[in-house]
Amino acid sequence: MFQDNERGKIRRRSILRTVSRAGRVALLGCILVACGGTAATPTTVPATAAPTATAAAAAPTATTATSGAATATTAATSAPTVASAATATTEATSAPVAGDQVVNMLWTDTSNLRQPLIADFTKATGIKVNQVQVQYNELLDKINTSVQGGGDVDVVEMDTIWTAQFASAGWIDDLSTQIDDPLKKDIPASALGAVTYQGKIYGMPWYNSAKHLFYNAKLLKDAGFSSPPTTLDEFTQQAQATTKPGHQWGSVWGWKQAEGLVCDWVAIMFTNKDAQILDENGKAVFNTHGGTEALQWMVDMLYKYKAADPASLEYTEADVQKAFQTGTYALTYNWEGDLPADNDPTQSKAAPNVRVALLPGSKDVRSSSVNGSEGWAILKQAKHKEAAWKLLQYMASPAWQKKSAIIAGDYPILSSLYSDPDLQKQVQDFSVYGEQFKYLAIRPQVPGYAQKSDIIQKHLHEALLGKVSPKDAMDAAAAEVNNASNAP
Amino acid sequence: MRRGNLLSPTMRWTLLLLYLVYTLLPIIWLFLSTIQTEASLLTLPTQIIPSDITFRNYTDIFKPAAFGQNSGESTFILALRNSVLVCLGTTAISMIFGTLAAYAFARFNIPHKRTLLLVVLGSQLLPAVSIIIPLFRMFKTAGLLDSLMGLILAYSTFSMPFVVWIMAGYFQSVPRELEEAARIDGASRFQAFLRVALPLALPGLGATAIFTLLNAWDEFFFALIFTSTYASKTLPVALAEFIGRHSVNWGLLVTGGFIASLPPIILSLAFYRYIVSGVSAGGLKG
Amino acid sequence: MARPAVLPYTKPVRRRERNGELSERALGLILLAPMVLMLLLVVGYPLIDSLWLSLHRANLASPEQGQPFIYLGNYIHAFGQPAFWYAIQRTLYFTVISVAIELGLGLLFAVLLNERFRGNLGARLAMILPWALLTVSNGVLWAWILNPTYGIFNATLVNLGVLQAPKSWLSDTFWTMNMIILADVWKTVPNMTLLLLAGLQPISADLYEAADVDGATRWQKFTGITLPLLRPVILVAVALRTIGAFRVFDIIYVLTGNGGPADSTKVISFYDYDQAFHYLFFGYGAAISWLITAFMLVLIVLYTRLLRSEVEV
Repeated sequence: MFQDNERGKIRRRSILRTVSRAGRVALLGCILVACGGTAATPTTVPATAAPTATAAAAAPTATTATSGAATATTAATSAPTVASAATATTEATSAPVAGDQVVNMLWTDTSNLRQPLIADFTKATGIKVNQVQVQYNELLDKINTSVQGGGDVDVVEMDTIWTAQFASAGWIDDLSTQIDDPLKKDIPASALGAVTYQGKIYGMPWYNSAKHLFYNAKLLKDAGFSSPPTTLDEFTQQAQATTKPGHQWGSVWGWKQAEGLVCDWVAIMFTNKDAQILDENGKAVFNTHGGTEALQWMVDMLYKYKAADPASLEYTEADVQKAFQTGTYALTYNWEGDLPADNDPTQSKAAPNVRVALLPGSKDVRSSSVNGSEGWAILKQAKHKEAAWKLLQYMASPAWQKKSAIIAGDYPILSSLYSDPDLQKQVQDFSVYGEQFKYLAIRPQVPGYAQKSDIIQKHLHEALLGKVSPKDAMDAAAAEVNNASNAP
Repeated sequence: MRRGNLLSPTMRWTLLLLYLVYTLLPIIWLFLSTIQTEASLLTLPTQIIPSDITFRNYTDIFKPAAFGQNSGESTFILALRNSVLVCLGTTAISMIFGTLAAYAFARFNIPHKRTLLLVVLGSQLLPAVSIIIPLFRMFKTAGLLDSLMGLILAYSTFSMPFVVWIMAGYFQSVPRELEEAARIDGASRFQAFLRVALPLALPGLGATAIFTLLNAWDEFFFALIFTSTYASKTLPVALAEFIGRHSVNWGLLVTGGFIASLPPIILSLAFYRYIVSGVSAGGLKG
Repeated sequence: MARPAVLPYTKPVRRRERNGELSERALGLILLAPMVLMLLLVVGYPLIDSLWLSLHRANLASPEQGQPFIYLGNYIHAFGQPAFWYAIQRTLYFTVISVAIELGLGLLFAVLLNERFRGNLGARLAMILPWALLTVSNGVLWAWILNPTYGIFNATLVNLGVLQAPKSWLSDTFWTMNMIILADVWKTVPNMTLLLLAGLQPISADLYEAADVDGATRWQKFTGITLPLLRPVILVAVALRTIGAFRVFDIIYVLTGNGGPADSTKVISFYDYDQAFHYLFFGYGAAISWLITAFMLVLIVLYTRLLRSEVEV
């Protein structure tokens, strides 16, 4: 007996003996659950697994088109038992939903700001929109898997840096002929360029976008500055003056290892009039053409001038906005559209002091920002192309563009709206928005940009963390980018 | 009779205190964070005891406007529904096929039985990343991407071997004689299995089913890659997406995380002994 | 007993055949078939397909390249990538440190819970809470605890005077990985504890009592009785936890989103995920998958060897 115990190993039998001591009554319930699963699964799962061409993805996700919003809410609050889910699925499958009546889209309206616009579209056309919302940094992966056959997605949000990739791989429809000439003429070059690859238009511009300078007018005034900085040197000076250790920072940035970091770096880099990222042969030259100096300035903001919150290294643009709303930061680079929320006293302690201005330049360059315009693309494999096209048309219409400028701060893609008196009145500092678009740098529009950008991000971040010198980081990044195309 | 004898009372109570603090403090903090208003959560300096107690997060999260919405339905509910269906489906399929195979291992003369059983155990331990790319290609061809059925198939790659591994041992521990007696009474081999062996193995089945449920509920990697829309997104994926959102609402996020963990917590507490046996037998969770 | 050779000719066998019932062997195979077929379909075939794919260039983002056969090109490329080796190094760091901490804490807690005291069951149940928490919820919880501005971790350290000002733990190449280890270990220690506790329970109290008679100290009893008897269980548990830790992905995805800062938390699973699903290098991704699989198979064989004597079938 001793011998037996001494072995002390895991003996399955002894373990199982423990199990058998457990109560059987409870167990029966468990088995019943398992059986319930058996009964329910075959009926529900195939319905969702194999959507018919007509019902499409509406089957599992949507209530039928006929059921009003009120019904949907009731259904949503009821307990999600197997039974109710099963009925819901059956209903949706059997309902006669025409292919044209629904469109599935993948985008990043994660703050739900633009939901009223979608509701307007459905009201105007009767077409239901099923949305999948992901955060920006996951969007490309999701588009990748959707394109490769995952899910029933018709319309995807397309950032300017992906157009080349999607178009060259043949994933999206060429819309050159579908977009009519008057509309093309009304869209500014920055927005149209974002969806153009080799002369063809592969998407509908969604909004014009650029990084802007946001500043807390009160904090600057308290430090004795009556106007925001116009050059990087002034920026440094004002940020230093407004930094009060422990209470307040002169600047905050979205320098997490992500695309936003590259955007700031590009904007800062192009204050140098000779800046260049890739040369005409596609070879990376940024290390010798302005990139190193820009990175040096960024590193100095953190460590030499101590005028940037170190938490910046962990922040995305969304975190930056949130931080800025605490009212303890004087200056930041961020995308347009933050102003309404920043000056909303229910969300922001910085209200109503947040203002927007041109990003700083240098003695040679008036201002330097980066093009972040995005568009919409229709996937080649889309099942609801007709409805998708209607949605894209609606998005480019004054109805959407004007309302979206007001409620979400999106910069319109229609030149005709720049002079719109309502917008001038309702959107604070609207005129500055227009001005910034004259000073845009463009990130390389080449296939495989995602990988190149990831490499640059990693090296930028290493330098910002103080692990390597800016020069070594940039040289290594350039070498790695030039090498990346050799990947098997 | 005293067991252990390794710790003096002082050491025991000190260690116990440390153990409880270490184990429970983060969970308590999680719970406290769920019952505050967003304003109270974001108060500086951080307060330990919330000034402003509310259970609004618990109702808000089921509302379409808060967590995210998909055609008027709360994405939290859609994800919850998907999670429930996938878990039940996985458990059902794995339990049925796995138990049959386990019985065969325990009672029949299978060639290379031992090797086969170890191969099955091995496949349970393989990481998802080993097979995710070919599975993705396969599901793409079969149209199973972004579907619950696809997820169920993917999950059975780790849950079915686990069922076989545990249940084979369990059937061994059930005495053969009872089945033989039934056969003498005229029952067929399969009837003997259904009417005698299976009822005797119920506790083992329960333990295995619970462990399978928990594992499927927790799974993230397959779900992240195979799901694109709310036709199939499960709770872990929905939560992971929510965390990166623009102007993330911490109150809702922690509440979502807490609610999503409630079913496994309740099941595990209720069936503590089963959990112990599952873990001891090499079930990987977390 | 006297004439065993006659046994094969006894009646039961014939009777079964007469009744038209399946032979033992056939029924066994039929019962086995669904499981085997399914595993061949979802595990066996994918493993082979993956191996085949790993010998091809398959860049789905550049369909015009086609999918040519390139022999071991992907593997050779991997070995030449500093990023690949760095991912391996980060994975090993995570695995070794977290399993070591788990083992230390697990031993301590298992010894504690093996003692007899009032409320022992309650204490054991407490352990289930972190264990049962969703991995993603665990990520959410620690993201909140470690939040640079509002997190309780910073608040506590600042209050205790350990820190002058709040620190952003997840933007530091040293601390991020260690914080992830902290978060992960918190959730996986119960696993280790349960495994070790199962090994402690069969150790007879008589042994300790005999040692008491000989005047042994507590430490001597621990090193002289507990540890040697627990050794096989510790080996099995460490093997199992190593297998578990090596596949880490979820918590890193939730806490960092991208394996940052500066790739310091980009473990091998994450590297593979990026290659396959961010850049769509399916061939290269499959090669990385196979390298991971090969390494895991070594661990798994080791684990099954440790278990082998215990496999009773």
